[in-house]
Amino acid sequence: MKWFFLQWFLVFSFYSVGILPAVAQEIGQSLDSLEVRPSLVNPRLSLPTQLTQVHVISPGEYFAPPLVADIPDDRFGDMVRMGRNIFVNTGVYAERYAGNGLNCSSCHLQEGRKPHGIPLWAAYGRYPMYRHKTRTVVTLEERIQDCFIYSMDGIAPTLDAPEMKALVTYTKWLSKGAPVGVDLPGRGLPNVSRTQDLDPKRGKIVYETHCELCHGKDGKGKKHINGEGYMFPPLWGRDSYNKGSGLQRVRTLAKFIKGNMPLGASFSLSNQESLDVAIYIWLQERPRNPKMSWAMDFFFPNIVR
Amino acid sequence: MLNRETVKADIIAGMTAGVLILPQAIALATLAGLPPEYGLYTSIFPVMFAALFGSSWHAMSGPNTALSILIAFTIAPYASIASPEWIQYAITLAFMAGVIQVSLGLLRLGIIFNYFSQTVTVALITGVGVIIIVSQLGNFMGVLMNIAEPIEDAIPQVVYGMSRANGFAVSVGIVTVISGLLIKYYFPRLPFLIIAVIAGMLFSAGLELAFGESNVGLDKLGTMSLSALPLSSPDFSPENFAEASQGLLPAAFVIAFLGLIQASLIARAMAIKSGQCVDINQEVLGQGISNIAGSFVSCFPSCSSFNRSASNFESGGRTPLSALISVITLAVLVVFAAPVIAHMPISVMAAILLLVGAGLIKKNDIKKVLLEKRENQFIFALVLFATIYGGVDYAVFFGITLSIIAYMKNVSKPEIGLLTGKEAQQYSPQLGGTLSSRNYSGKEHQKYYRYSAGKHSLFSSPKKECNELDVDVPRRFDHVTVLQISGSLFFGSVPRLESVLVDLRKQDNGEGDLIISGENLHSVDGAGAEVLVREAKNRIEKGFRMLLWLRNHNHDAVFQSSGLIKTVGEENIYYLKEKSGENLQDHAV
Repeated sequence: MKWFFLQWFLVFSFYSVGILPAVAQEIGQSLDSLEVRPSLVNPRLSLPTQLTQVHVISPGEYFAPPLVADIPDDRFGDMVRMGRNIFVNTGVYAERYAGNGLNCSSCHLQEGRKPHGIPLWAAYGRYPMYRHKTRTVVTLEERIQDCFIYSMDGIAPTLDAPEMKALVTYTKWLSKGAPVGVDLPGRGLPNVSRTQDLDPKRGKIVYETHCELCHGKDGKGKKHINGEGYMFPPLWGRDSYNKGSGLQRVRTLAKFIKGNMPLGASFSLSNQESLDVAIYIWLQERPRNPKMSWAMDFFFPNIVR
Repeated sequence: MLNRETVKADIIAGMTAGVLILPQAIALATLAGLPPEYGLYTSIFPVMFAALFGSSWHAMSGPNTALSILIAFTIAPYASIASPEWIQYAITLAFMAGVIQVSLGLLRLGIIFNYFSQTVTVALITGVGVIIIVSQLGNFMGVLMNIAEPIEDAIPQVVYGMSRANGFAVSVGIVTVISGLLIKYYFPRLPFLIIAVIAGMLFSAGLELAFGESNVGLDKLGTMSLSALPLSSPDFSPENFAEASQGLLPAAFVIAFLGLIQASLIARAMAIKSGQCVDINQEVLGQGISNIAGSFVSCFPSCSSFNRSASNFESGGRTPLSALISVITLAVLVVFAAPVIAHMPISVMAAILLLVGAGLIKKNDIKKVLLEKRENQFIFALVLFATIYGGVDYAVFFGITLSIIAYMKNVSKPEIGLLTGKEAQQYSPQLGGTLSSRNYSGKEHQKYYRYSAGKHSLFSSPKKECNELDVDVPRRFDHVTVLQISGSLFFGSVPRLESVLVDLRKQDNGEGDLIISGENLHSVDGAGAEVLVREAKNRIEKGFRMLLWLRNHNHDAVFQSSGLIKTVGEENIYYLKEKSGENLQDHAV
C-alpha cells in the first residue's frame, strides 16, 4: 500500500515538474480563468501542433505582432491588458455594450493576430478610411462602434468610453512596428471567386461535414462547461451577429470561411464550398438589422444598405 | 419613536424615495464622470450609514450635484473619464473627505458650519446649476464635448457643436425636458423626473422603431454590471496616487466642507420642520462615517440631499427607517429596471440633468437672500461669478472667506446709542441711587426701572417724570451723556467706537460725565477696554467722571487687566446682577 502511494507520488511529481514550465507560461499570459479558447491560442507557441494554423506561404511574409509577454508593466500596459481582456472576453469585460454571445476574437481570430483572419495590425494603419457602407470617412473608433452595433448586436460604446480607449490601445500595441497606410500581406480576408451558382443544399452538406462538429447542428455554437460564454461561437440565432453586420454579406462570409475555417485548416475548403456554406448560413435566422425600419423603407426605399 | 403608525408612514415614504432616487443616481454618477453603477451604489450604502450614524432623522444622504461636479473637475486632469483610474480616484476622494469630516466631528467643530452664510450657499448652488446646464448641452445634442472646461470655452464648443448635433438626440432631449416641465407645473405632486425619463425613453423607442436604431444613432447608457457587495478600497500607493495627490488633497477638503455645509443646512431645515433637536456634531460624524464606509463599497463622495430630504419628510418619513426602506426599494428596483436602463439614451440623461440643474437655480431663495441685506447682493454676485468662472472648489474657499468677512463686518459694528440730556439722567446713580443695591435678574431689567425708580419711568412718560425730578439733579449731571454699547467690543469694532467718541468730544468738548451703558455687551477684549480707559482718563483729567453700567461680572477680568476699573474707580461701576455665589448688597466689584 505504501509503495502504491509512493509510486503515484513520484509519477505526479515528475508529471508536475514536466508540465511546470508550460503552466508557468500559461499563467504568465493568462487573462482570467478561461477554459479552452481555440481562437485564443498564441500563434508562435502553437503553430505546428495545435488547433490553429497560419497559412504561411513563405516565412517572414506576414507581419509579426508583439508577444503577450511583452506587454509593458505600466499604465499603457494596463490599458493594453484591459483591451485584450475585452477583445477575448467581450461579454464580461465590455458587458455594458455587448449584445450577443460573440467576442471580438470570434471573428478577429487569435486575439486579432491571424493573417487573413481580419488581423488588427493590418487594420490599424489604414484608419481613418473611407467606408462604402457608411459613405463617410470613419476613424478606427467609429469602426469599432459599428462592430458593437452590428456584429455584437449591442450598444455602441461612446467615443470617450474607457472600453473604446482600451480596444484602440490594444490595437495600437498589436500593430507595433507595422507601417502606416500600407496594405500588409494577410490583411483582412482572402479573395474568393465563384465558378457556378451558389447552392444552399450543397452548403448544408459542407456544413454538416466540416462545421457541425464545433458549431453544432443547430448552429448555436458550443458553450464553455460552466455555461458562461462560447467556446465555439454561434453562427445564427439570438446570440449571433445581426443582419446588418459584415458577415451577413455572403461574399465576406465566404472569404472568412475560406481563410480561417475549419479552425486549424485554413484554405482547405474550395472557393465554391466556402460560398455554398456561406449562403447556407446566410439563410438562417438571426437578429434583425438595426438599420431597417418601416419608416426608412417608406421614405428611402432605394437606399443601399 | 417607532410605533405602528410611524413604521407604516416610513415604509411608504421610503419606497417613494427609493423610486425617486433612481434617475438622479444614474445622472449624478454620469455628471461625476463615473459609470452609472457607482451612482446606484452611492445612493444605497452612504444613505444607510448616514441614516444609522447621523443625528437628523429626516435627512437623506446620497449623491449630490455640487459634489459630482467637483469630483469631475478634480479628477479630469489626472485620468480619462470613467476609466478604472478615475473610479479609483473618486473612491479615494470619498475616503479622504470622510476622514476629514470624521475628524471635524470628533473635534466638535461641526458648529462652524452653522456660520456658513446662506447667501454664499445659495450662490454656490446657483452656480452649480449653471455649470450643470452648460456641461450637459453637449450630451443633450449627442455631440462629444470635453469635460471640465471653463465656461468661456464650453459655450463656444456648444455653439460649434450645433452643426454636428444629432437631430434625433436633440428631439429626444427636448421631449424629455418639456414633459418634465409640464409635469412639474401642472401636476406638482407627481415625480416629474421619472415621468420625464419614461417619456423620453418611449419617444426614443418610437424613433428607433420608425427609423432603425443605427440610423437614429443615439448614444446609450449600456448594460450595468451590478454586484451586491461591490468591494473596493481607497488607494494611496505612490504609483497610483502620487501624481494626482496635488489635486486630490485640496479637493478632499473642499468636498468635505461642501458636503458638511449642505448637510448641516439640511439637518437644521429639517429640524425646524419636525421640531427634532439635531446634534450637528453627530450629523457631521455620520456624514464622515458614511463617506469612509462608502469608499470600501465603491461609492464616490456623498452628502445629504435637500430635495430628497424634503420630499422624504413631505411623504411622511419620520424616522431613519424610511432611509433604510428607500435603500432596499432601490436595490430591488435596480435588479428589475437594469435591462430597461441599458437602453436609456444619453440625451435623456442630459435632459434630466438640465432639469436638475434648472431646479438648483431657485428663484425664491435668491430673491429672499438678495432682499435681506444690501451686502448680500454683492456677496451673491461675487460667489456666483467665482463658481461659474473659477470652479466650485475655488468658490467654496472664496465663499468661506466671504462668510467670515461678512460675519466680522457685522460683529465689528456694535450698536452704539447716544442718550443725552434728560433721557440720560435715569442712568445717573444720584437719581436711582438704590438701583444698584437691589438684587435683580436680567429678566427683570425693565421692571427695575419701572418699579424701584417708580416715579420716573423711561418707558411710560419720560418727559413728565424727568420734569418732576429736575430739581434733584445735581448740577454736574447737566451734561451727562450715556453711551449704550451692545454687541462685541473688540479690536475689530474699536474704530467704530472711537469715531463715535470723537464725535461726542466735538459736541461736549469732553466736559461732562460719560455713562457707558454696557448691559448688552457680550464680549470685550483688551483693545476695546483700552479705548474706554483712554476716554475715562480724558474725562477725569477735566474733572468729570465716567460711569459704567454692566450686566454682570463676566468682563471683570478684562477690565481689571486693562486698568479700566482702576481708572474709573470701583465706586463708579454698577452691576445689574450680583456676582454669583456672593450676596453683595452694594455695587462693589
